[in-house]
Amino acid sequence: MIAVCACSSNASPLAFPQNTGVSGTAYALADYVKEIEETLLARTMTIGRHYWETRRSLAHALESLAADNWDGYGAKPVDADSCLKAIQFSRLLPMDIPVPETEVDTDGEVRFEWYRSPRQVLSVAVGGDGRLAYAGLFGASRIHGTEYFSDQLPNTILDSIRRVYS
Amino acid sequence: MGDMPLPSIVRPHESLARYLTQSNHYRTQDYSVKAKAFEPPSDLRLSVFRVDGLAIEEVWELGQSNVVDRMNQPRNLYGMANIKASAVRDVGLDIDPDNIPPRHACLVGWPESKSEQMLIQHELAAKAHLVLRT
Repeated sequence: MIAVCACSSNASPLAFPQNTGVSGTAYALADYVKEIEETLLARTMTIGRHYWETRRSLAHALESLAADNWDGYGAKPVDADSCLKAIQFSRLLPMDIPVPETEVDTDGEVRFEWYRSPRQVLSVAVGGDGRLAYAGLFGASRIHGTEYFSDQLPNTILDSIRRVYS
Repeated sequence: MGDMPLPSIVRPHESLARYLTQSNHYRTQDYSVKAKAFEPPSDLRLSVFRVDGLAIEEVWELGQSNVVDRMNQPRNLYGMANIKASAVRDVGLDIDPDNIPPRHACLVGWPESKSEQMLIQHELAAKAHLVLRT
């Protein structure tokens, strides 16, 4: 039996490969690999900590922020597409990057934040279409912009995250 | 409560309170305010209160009666992010002292771009002073 299963490589050797399988068997294989991966990750939290922490935070968010106006100021419910993209984003984070705080914005998008001090901080909001709106302070320097991701994270984002801790 | 009339124009040194009704809007590790505390709503009018001339208990009473008690979900008043009007203007926003309810104002002039909004939130958070309700 031959299963056609393509995995795209990621810029980081520490990031998880993304399955782009093309046959039914490949999907089955993908499920099997995913099951093994999750078992391994559950045993070794260090390896998949971004993913697990994000999943945990978003599971909580989906429960508590699923209704309109959850903040009392007219917030939208957490966006399912943004959640899925955020989980995908978290799987692409290299292991050497600290686990971010996960929040939900009032427009329903998931936001990650890497924080060292009030002027050494970066936020990335993940849109349901893979749009990454980011902003950060690095001492007197300020950055903001928009990037998109699919199967790998833009270097601009990775470099900015690392800059928080440099 | 603080019956001293407030000037119709918000002066640069005036203190503005952004009431904190979510525990994830501040950090107790370093007593800092999170950017999320300054996230504008969809109408881009971020609610604050002018608190100069009030005793601290009056500040909390103002927040409790005008913010927390008016929410459609039970919330706590954890504290406030205190920021000077000049700091708000420094990041390119303006202050609309609508005085509805009394002492209320809105931070207006937010850009449309989400990343620019996020940057302003970080700037405001870095300049704000966290005051927790004890």
